[in-house]
Amino acid sequence: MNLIALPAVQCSQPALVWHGVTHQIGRTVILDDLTLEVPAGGILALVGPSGCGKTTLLSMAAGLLVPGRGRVETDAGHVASMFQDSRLLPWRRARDNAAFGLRCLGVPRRTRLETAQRLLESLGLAPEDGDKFPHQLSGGMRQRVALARALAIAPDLLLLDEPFNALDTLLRRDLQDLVRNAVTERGMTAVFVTHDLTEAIRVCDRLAVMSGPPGRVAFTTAFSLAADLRDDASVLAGLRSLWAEPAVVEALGGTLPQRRRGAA
Amino acid sequence: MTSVVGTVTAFLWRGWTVLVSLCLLGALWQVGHEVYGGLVLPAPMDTLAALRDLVAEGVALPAALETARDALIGFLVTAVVGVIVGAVAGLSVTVGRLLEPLVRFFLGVPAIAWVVLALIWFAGSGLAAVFTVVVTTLPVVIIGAMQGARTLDRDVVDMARVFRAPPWVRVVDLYVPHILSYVFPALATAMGLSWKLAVMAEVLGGTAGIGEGLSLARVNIDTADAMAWILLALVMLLSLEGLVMDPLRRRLEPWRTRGNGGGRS
Repeated sequence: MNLIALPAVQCSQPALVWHGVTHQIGRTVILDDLTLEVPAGGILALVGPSGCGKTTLLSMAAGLLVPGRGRVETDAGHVASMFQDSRLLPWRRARDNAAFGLRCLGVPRRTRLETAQRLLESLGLAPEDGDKFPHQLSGGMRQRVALARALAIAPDLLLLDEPFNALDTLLRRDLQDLVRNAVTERGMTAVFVTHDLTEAIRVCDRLAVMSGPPGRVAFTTAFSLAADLRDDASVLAGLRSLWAEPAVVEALGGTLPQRRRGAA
Repeated sequence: MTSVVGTVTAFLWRGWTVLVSLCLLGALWQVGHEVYGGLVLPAPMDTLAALRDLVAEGVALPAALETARDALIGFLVTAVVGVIVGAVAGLSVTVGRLLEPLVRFFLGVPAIAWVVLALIWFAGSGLAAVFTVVVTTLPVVIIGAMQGARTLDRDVVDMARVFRAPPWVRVVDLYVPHILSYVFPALATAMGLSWKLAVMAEVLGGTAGIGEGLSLARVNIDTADAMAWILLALVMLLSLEGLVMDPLRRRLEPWRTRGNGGGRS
């Protein structure tokens, strides 16, 4: 039970802040005056039901979307993203895809391809896989290439939008560990959007549960036990204590809060 | 090693099938000749002999070069202008809306009408064939490029925006490969069309080229010569497609051919 602790006192400058952001599509309000801080370092998991505006928040952080009201503040120099689908360029080899971010930064061809190849191999691809085109790779390999593309530019802020949804459980765990290790080793900040509470508890340092639409932050917490020390038992314990929180149940329980409460 | 053997086998097999169908065509041709006589359908060997004579007389080569010049200049103008205009029209909704009715209109005008107009407008300047080729093939290429630009995956564009891709990277890595994959079939069609249109304009306009030879053969009612000219035009077009367009496509689109990888995670 000591997995969940009260949020620690913020001592460092936040890496990313959404200040009273609002977003509307037509008449549907996706986000209404939402404020959330992402402290520097570690992974913040954003968990919520579909349609609660998780992806919208990430799009704002990535600079793809300007909030209708409010503002997004970040001091991150390099921002990288991973998406649900790998979004690789079908006409480029895996190595060139992994080097895409570096190409955008103007890194010379040889250097960037060497970096990309090294990263691909460190993420579990065979050396010859660098020469393959995306359609020759499996879904898990494509997501590894997408992760390599994100890590190659040494981002200060890594945005992950349900990146492992399409993968089976074992592959998912593999890639969760890879992301976790990369964030720890490089000391960067990551926002990990998922609808899967178990996945969130497995990888994150801090957790924000959203409800909606319109999206708002229903519950936040931080984990005292380092993520790489969490085994299945502690993840399960964390899951149990989260389901004991009425705010979490209300946000994620959906249409059957009574049954959910009974189960927890 | 196995891949080399495979490639060679595939090549031989393709060559073999082509040879078989050519022989079949030659046999049917011979049958037609024996049924209808030499005036309607000269024998294949007589046609080849006529072609040999035309080459020996020094008529065939200059005519072929003339036609090739008309077709290729027209094709190049179409390719460059069509891809650029089509890409812009596909990316900008306003330009696309303005251009689409125009393109459909030009696509609907019969090619022969353009030949007649071109002969009136460009009489004697030698530009009639090139003009006909350009106005007839341009809409085909514009539509191909327009569709390519329109179907660009927004998700991939967003990805490029997240990575702050500079405009030239977006053009070279996103727009060009995608549009090219759409425009290539249109270009292949335009290439075939331009050849036929150049010959047609030459026949009607009496300007130098394969078409002129054809129209002379008609005047002399020399069917063997006519068939020889047709054969010449056909051989040139097919060799251009086989020796230039196909290798170009293989070079530009290796990502479409399924390799023997994948499956492993």
